[in-house]
Amino acid sequence: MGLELLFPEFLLAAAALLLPGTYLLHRNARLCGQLAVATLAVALSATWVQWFGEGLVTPASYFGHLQIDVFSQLFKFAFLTIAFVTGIVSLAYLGELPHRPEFFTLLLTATLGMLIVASASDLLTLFIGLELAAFSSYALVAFQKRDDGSTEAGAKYLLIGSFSSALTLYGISLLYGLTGTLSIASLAAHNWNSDFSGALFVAILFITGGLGFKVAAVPFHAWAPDVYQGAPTPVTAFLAAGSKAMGFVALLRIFVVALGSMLIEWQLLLGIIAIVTMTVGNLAALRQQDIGRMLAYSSVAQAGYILAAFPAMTELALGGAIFHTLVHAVMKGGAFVIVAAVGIAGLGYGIDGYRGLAQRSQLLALTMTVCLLSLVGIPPFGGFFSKFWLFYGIFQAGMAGQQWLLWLVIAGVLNSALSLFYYLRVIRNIYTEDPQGEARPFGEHTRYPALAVLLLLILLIPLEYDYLLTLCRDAAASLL
Amino acid sequence: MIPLLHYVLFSSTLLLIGGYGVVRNRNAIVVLMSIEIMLTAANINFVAFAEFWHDMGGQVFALFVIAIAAAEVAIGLAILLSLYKQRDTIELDMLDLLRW
Repeated sequence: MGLELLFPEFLLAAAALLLPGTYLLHRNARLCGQLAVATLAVALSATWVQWFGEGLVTPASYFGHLQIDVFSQLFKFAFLTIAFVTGIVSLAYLGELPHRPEFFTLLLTATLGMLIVASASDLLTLFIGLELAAFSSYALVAFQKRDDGSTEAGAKYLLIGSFSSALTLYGISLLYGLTGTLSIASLAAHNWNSDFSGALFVAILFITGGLGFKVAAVPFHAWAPDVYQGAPTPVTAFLAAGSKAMGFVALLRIFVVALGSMLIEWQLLLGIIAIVTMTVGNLAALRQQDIGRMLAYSSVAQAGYILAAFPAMTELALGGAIFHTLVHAVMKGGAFVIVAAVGIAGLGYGIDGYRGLAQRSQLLALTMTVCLLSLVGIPPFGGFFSKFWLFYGIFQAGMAGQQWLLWLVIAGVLNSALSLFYYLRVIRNIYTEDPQGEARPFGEHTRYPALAVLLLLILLIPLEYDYLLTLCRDAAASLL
Repeated sequence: MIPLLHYVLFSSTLLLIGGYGVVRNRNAIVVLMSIEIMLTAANINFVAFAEFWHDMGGQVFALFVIAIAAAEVAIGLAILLSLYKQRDTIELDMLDLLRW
């Protein structure tokens, strides 16, 4: 088996090692940032070529630790795109701050961790990927070390994050003890001998605790608002889009693939967590004044919608969940790009800062509005399509037998209606109020990512949803 | 030969001690140490189960976890140090800037 499918991983690892060296030789921080962004662009196009150019006929397995299949290629592509956009926005956001080469090195290693999670076929590889991404993100969150908020957010993220990864690790060790294997494929094939095992349920509780933290599911969501508010905004975008998707990838690999035969052990648990998560997230978002915190709680709510697809365990529901995970990355990432742009322009991070944004920049105002309406799931925009298929998949599974799944759909629809309130508050500020105070002009660096997000949400996803959904359903089918 | 159950009891005791330390302590360094104890608990499980199943996978995992724990402490201390430089304290009760 050739190693060419792992080219993006090798490239990122090499670049992460070479970048600090380049800085030591040339002392040119700007060059380092551009090199990192260029590396991500090359890795992204390599994944694109491998995916569409040659096609993926059979999954490629590497020593039983890594496996490249449709699912992993889809998410590798998504993670590299997110990192690339984060890199471009960071170039503008960081300006002339010191230690920029370290920032971009950490961005590369975090992305590498996510790529490893996307193609892990072994609990050891999965855990190492999760930790590599997590450690890099702790440092990225605390990057502005002269800033009180950033350091505090980093410390909170670090302590809560390593606590929850210790829980995951203990859960994995119990799972290993019960089955004697770490390979996801062998776990899936394991003969459990009984319908319900108490020991396995304890292991599942531990793993849910740890991965629930990654996707910010209630009751493990307490870090999200603090970190989203305190971290440098491009890092927030990276976490909201990338780290969350990574959590779902890990959840899908462990629950749907490895423990798919023991559905009965975790079905109800994840269902309850889903309903509580979406409700708590939306209710808490209603009263936020800081845009970062508001989007963080909305992100918690979205995690609830996606988690609702897990108990259904059908190809359509999981395909919808994967689709919504990816579209959520676009919407949330896009929203945070605008937040970064408004922040760079000196308008602050409160919802008040968005007053009269439409008069300052039509493009940014429109993109923010489309992102927020997409997050609610208003029809013509991208978010509607993914949310529709997500809920329709669960609905179908509910009609096909498991009646209680219908409650998940009802809770999801009611919650979406509820979420409209707090998004509309921002949109009203953008269009009906007059701008207050002076602002610096918005730079090119944020204008192009904003335009790309806008085109994705109003053109590409609505027009091509059929193709994208098929892609996501293929990925889901490769899991089941 | 020590029975497997003893290892599991030992490791769950360690996990509880670590978890108690994380929840009850107000000093960030002690919390970090408690998290290390939790990682050790998982490690003991891995090694004991590897012996039980005659499978090297668990022992390899334990070695990786030791490396991961070391990296975690390095990053943790770095972040806590920069927190200390700003505030002259690492009491967790003082982390109240970001709250609604």
